[in-house]
Amino acid sequence: MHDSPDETILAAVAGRLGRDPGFLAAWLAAAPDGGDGLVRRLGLDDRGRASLALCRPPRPDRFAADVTAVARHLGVDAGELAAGLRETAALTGVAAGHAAVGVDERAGLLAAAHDWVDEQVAVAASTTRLRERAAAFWAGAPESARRGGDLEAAVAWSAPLAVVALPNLDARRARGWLAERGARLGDGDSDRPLRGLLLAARGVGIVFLDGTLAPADRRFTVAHELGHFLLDYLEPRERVLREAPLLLEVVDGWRPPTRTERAQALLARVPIGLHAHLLDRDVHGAATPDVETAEDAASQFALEVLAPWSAALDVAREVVGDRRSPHGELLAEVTARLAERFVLPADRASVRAAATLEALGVRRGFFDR
Amino acid sequence: MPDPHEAELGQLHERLLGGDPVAPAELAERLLPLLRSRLAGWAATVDDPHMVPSAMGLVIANYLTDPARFDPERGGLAGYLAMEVRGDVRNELDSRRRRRRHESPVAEPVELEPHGRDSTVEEEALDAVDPIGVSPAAVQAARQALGEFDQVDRRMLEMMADGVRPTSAYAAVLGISHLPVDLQRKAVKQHKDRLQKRLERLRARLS
Repeated sequence: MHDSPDETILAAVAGRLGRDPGFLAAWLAAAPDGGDGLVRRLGLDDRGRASLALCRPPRPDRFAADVTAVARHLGVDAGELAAGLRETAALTGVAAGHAAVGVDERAGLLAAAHDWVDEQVAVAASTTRLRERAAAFWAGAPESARRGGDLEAAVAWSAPLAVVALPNLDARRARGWLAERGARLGDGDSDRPLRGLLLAARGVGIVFLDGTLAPADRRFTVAHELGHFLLDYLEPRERVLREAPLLLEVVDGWRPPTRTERAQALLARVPIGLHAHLLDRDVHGAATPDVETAEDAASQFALEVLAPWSAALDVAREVVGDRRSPHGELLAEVTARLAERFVLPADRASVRAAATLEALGVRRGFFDR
Repeated sequence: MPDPHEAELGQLHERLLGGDPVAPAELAERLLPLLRSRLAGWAATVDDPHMVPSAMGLVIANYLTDPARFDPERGGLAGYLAMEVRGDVRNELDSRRRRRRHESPVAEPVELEPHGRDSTVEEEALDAVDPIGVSPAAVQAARQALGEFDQVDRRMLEMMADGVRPTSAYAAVLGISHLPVDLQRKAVKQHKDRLQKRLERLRARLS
């Protein structure tokens, strides 16, 4: 037995569990890169890899606690493990989703991207619902991420979504990144510059964002694509899971819909197979105007996530106080404070500032018009 | 005297049953040295040094997959698993013996040269094909070709001749146990196919 070290036997045990979804061994085996990216990311040696594979996948309702326990066992950073697990799951889901029934493999990464008009959030999202959803998002993140408003760290904990920053993002670069990790998604994508790109399938997603964006633009782009993922993809999918679980096979692309199923209203509102959304950028890096107007709900959600309403209102209240300054002056100051406090792009901070002043009863006077 | 580790194993077993995400890894890592220690003396009597570690891997994997098969009322976990390992190895050895008994010889037994070469399983297998009537030049060429098998090839050929089946055993010899199981299976199959082809070519030279 002396010539079989522990790590060899542990790897053999993990190998035998590679088809059992009750173990991370199966997650790693199912990933297009065999889990190599996660192992590299965590800096694990052979024994660490085997140890990781022998752990159980984190339970969705106890994700933070389970990931923290596994990270402690492996001696790795819990945030890195959470983000790495999200990335591995996203790679697996996106690769499978692209190969799903009804998706043309020749048509490239953006085959499933909707037209601009269709990209609007399908069901009008009330402000209250968006605020609740944003609050629920932060509630799932650990205290460290909440305190610092670290959005990308919070995403890893609170949503089945991976975030990947690539310099000078376009669809080809994103496709290349996926291909390097074994997820080959066809060909034929354009090189038009993008701020963000969301791909989602089988309940998981991946957000690519332009790594050259300024911090405020980067945060807003992640929050915006998070909004699309939660509101346009995950919630409709969860509705199907709740109301017609059998249709999930269709939604996830395991099989085509029957004629009867195709007629069901529920199915008409759910993205099937691979869901893609992209956010174009102009030459200066800003989102193009037609995108802005078409995506109010996702942008509104992004504001609720980045600058929660009550906190933004407090900032405005501090600025206004007992002052009787002109509206324009107050707007400029609240905008600056919000931009600084919540790391918001100036134009978004201005939108938020105007809304908070309105809520405080500070309206533009005759001479402000 | 009760095993001092059993209380700890019992707690881990309960955590495993409860769905604790880390319990399987902790259990496997804790069980390995305990099983090694329990089985060390007996394992030294087993000819194939890979057989016991391979059985340990199998038994631990089976237990992790279905922990309810272990009944704590009937004894300790390490003892139970050690017994399973012994049983698996004995079954495998019996199975090998049965296979050998039922194999019909394709030629009369050939007496090997008493010295002058390091007789190996693949050579014996080759010699047993039909050494009668083969020209000395062909035999010499075949022996030269056999010398080209490296240590890994020789070990794999021995295992193939012994009827070892688990992919994990071959993966351990090839040093690819860390790879995902699908890749292990693919690599092992490729290696075995390559060895089979080389043996077939050798047989062709002798025919």
